[in-house]
Amino acid sequence: MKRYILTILFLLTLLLPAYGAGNKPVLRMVTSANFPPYEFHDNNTIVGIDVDIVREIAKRNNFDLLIEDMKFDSIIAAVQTGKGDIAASAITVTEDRKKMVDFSIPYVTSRQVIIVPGDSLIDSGKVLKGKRIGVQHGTTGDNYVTENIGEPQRYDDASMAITALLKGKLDAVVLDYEPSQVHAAKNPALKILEEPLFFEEYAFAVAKGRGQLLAVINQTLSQLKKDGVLTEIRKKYEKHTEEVVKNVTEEKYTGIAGDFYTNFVKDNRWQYLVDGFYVTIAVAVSSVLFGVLIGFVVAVIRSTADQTGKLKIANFFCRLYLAVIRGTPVVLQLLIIYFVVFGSVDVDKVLVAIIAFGINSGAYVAEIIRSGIMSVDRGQMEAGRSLGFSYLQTMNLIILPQAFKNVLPALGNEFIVLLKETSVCGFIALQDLTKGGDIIRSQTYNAFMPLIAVALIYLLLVVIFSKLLEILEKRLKRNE
Amino acid sequence: MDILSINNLSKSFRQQQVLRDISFTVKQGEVIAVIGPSGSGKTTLLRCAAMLENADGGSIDLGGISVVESGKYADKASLKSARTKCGMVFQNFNLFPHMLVLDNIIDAPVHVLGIPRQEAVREALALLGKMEMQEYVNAYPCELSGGQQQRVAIARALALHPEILFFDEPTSALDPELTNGVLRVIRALAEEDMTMVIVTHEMDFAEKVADRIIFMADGMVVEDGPAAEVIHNPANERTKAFIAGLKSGF
Repeated sequence: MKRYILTILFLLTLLLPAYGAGNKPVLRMVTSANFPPYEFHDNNTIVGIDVDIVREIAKRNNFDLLIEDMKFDSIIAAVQTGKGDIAASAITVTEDRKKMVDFSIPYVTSRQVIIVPGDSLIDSGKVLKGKRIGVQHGTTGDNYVTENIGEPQRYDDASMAITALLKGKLDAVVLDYEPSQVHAAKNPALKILEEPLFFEEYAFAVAKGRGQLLAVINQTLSQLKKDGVLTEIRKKYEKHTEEVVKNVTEEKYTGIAGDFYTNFVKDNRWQYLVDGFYVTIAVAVSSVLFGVLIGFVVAVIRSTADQTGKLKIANFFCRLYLAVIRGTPVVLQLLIIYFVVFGSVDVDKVLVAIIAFGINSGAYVAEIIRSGIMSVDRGQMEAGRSLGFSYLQTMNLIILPQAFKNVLPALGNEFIVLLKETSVCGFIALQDLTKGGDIIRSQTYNAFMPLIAVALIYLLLVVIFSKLLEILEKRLKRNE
Repeated sequence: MDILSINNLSKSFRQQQVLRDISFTVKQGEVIAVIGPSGSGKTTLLRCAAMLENADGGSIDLGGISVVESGKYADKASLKSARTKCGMVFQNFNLFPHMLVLDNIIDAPVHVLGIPRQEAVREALALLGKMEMQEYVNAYPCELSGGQQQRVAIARALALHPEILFFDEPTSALDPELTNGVLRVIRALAEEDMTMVIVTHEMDFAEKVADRIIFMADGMVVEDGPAAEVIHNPANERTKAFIAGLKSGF
């Protein structure tokens, strides 16, 4: 057992990143980099209007800039809990958000537009009532439609909404101006209504009580406006949008081969999948080891309490652990561990994910192993005790090896479930396999091909793992 | 010298009293057979003596250690050293299925007594030889017949050099043709003056091997005397009825 513990500790230390101590103070920017031209992945770096502006702010005030990519839903929470200093993600100033964070002066005015099929009779926002409208979940378009028009269909990303519109499942999609241009260019069957649904202002957000930082940001923003730097940056990316529009309409290849080329080959996009693959493997394997460790301890405590009536207090806490962990969704546990438990500590997100999934998996593994322990004949414990082994020795040397073998298929199952559960890593901005696919989708505006590729990789992993498990099972079966 | 001395032992499972006021002693080198109808408390008595079950009242002294005194159990250290003084052979053998025959035998000497592995292996081979099982040293228990498994289990118990061996119906789970090998090795042990308490239904065997026979009924010791006497000339009516019943059964 000691050997396993050491192995796991060793694996965990490997995953701890070495933090270089810079001399300059660090400005940590949080963003959701799937919103070109404001923020997006380009050749494995995050670029965009927001990024350039914040970079300029950092430069002029002698900060080192550190950019963190996460789900848009998490960004406000990230600055509130101190995970980031400045949220720069094309955030619209709204009254609700003002209650949670402080906003800088607006740096750009944008608009929400309506996309409809070319032959649609919808010609303005005034006739949207009663229509099936698609929005991107959590955006201002979502809020506006919900409050002023009616319940929309909420999609996690814009390409999904566009796909639904193309398939006739929606009558219109409300979207920010810039991505709408790309989507419309890519899909000639769609058109953007000239009259925007409404105008909105983007600003940066900081946590309440950080007046000094806010003052610095505002001061620099005014300067940038005066210098014309803001306009320069916007122009630079206008060109980028034009290029994307040109690219998606004039691809080298067409059909499936073209889609494949755009999604994986072009700009080395396959790299997102490879990087994500490593993260997924690291998180899944380490957390299953961690989970098995927790599971063994909890299972032994629970079985000991059941069989001998001892360890009542430890058993109580084990039961509490099982109830809480099995009774709540893993995404919530992940978010709580990241934002609350490690709220004020700068800790590597891979480690956070391993801890969260390890603790989660441990609860299921504990019950699996407990069922294994119960499946071992009572006589085995008695034989061990009669030979002078202590209770724990008997557990370790005699009961657990047999229990482990009995529950191997169930443990394998748990690992497969865990492997796929790690796909929610994106919630804390960890770029796992699923998130890698999402990044590609945000760049290529293609709804399905990256998803299918990601699914195939998961499938392949599970098939290989199942095969390995089968071999292990056969070897363990030799003494039957 | 008494290896085992039991005084006024009592034990209940919930409402049901299984052992009532049991007292007897076992001297060094003695072989005792415990007989009686099923449900009479034989196995529970043996399990209490081997510390697999806790008694409610009474006293047990094992190899000079007071295990329980008037229903109060001794401290952990005393219990641990008392455990190594007795060995137990189970009705269902209870070999460890995930270990080779050799590992079944040397595991306790190495991990509990701290005997060097090499020495433990040497001794295990000798014990297996005595059990006529030497050729199965690298087999898994599942590859052995019941009789062979039981002989390995006896070797496993002997490897700890117990001062007394308890047998709980060692041949009850065996096909009739397999019992002889097991009975033969128990007999050989008796000839070497191994102290043994054997719960059994094999009356012929009990008569041949045991120095004394204890007859139990309803959780009480009804009769305790020399083997031949208890079988051929029992004093108690219930013993008479039990033995007569066994004979007429065939």
